[in-house]
Amino acid sequence: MRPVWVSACALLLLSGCKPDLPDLPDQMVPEPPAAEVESVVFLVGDAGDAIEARSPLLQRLRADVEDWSSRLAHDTSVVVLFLGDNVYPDGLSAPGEAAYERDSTVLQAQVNAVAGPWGRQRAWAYFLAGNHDWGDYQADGDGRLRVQEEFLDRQRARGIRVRLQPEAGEPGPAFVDVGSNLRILMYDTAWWLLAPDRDRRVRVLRQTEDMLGRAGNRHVIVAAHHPFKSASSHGGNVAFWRTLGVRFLLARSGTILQDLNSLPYRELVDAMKESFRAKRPLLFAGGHDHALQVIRHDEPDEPRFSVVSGSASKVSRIGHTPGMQYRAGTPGYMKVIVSRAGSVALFAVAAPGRGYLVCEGEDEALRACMADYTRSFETTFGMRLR
Amino acid sequence: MRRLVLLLAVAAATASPLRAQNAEDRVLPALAGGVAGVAGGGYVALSVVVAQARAGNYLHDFQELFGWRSLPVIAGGAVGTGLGIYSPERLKRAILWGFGGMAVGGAVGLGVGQLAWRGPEGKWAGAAIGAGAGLVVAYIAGALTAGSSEDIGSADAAAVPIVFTVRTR
Repeated sequence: MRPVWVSACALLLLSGCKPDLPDLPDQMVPEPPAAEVESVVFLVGDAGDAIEARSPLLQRLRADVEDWSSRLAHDTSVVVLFLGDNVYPDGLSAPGEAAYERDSTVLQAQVNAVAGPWGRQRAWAYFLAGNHDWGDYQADGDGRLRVQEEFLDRQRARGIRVRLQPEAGEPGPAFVDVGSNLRILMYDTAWWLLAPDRDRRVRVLRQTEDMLGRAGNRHVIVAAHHPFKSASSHGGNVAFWRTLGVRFLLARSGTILQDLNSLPYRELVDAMKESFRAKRPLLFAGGHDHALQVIRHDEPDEPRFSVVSGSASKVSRIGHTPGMQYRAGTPGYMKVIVSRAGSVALFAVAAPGRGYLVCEGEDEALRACMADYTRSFETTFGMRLR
Repeated sequence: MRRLVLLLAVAAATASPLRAQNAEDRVLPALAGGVAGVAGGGYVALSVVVAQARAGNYLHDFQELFGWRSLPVIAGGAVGTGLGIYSPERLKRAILWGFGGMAVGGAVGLGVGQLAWRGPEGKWAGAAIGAGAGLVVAYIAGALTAGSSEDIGSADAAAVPIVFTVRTR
């Protein structure tokens, strides 16, 4: 083979390699003792492909929720935020449709995270809408959301504390105060990306400013499906050769609505920043990209920290961005622990590798895999936010 | 325009029933034309999608690219194959000019995009749209302006029979 061809092939292969990512310092503060904790908020995103019997993550999450619910004395001290894309690929089908059985099984698996004996008494789960819950923007997307809302309402009637927030087809913000130190604002950012109604958008921003301004001394977590910043594929981290440059060009030119650099998404982030001048949120929690990321922000119109927690049932590649404190391209979720004294700590619970997403096999093999993989999830990161 | 339509029609119609005398000589050009056409068509499809997004019709997902939006890929493959069979000479120039048009269009589009749209995406979008437009225009121009000596049915392309002369005393 001619040297020129050898060089060309080598170049092609090299260009497909992952670039080295800068090392991040290990951060691991201990979890505070339960006696000092006022509330715990779990951040779980993009769980819409997880089947309970085969998802070690959901099993681990349920055990974690149950554990904290049993250890914290007061009511509503544990909150689980499902950060959207709760049912892949097209949201919850209506009862009677062919896909309803599968879809409802997937959603039920998430509902069951707060359905344990202690969870039922002390935990709430709020489901936020993601783009896939809107039927991935097929016709009658808000109809799909209403089906999901009705499903959750039926579960609530059975005594499991779950709710779609904001209500189906509404942009938000919906808010909930947890204990005396925390306020959570919840948005349907998928609505925003589609919204033709400029006046409504302005009202959303004014309400945000109002809710932030009236939060007083409470720390504020802003929760939505779409993240504030991301170093994964929706944030533009796309390898050039992966789809022969096509995905790369689409990402660079802002052609995909769901990418952070599309014009509507950029407007969303800019609008959020404008409203954050009223009070700087402590944390912006999103999913959407299938990885775990913690990013520190320095600008006064940005949240102090933002996280991407979207690897509950899918995992994608991850890169680096300025301010990054933690990254993991593995299945996992995050949790925020707020102390009675008002301090806040953030933790990531992650599996050691991508392969821990699903357990295959049947009967004994499945049981053994689930037990083994569930045990493999560990707290891999912990830092004080305040 | 009439000439273009005629050229495309002939190229497509002659894709399989070869009338040329030297059919084996057209296999490689047909293959090359097909591959180049698919790649070029793919790029044109991409440009169209980027232009649509700039007009507010975004792709919701990468997978949406596959479907009717991929039509230029099929069209490009068919035209390229047909052109390779009809006239390797025209194909060669179309591909060369197509590359040139893509580069020039991309460069012009980059500048225009930077001026027309805010954010770093503007220049990328402009470059993608410009390159696609440049590719189409230059490909067609190249195919139309190339020499026609290898065209099927042209006088030059006709095989010259070997003439034996037998002299009798």
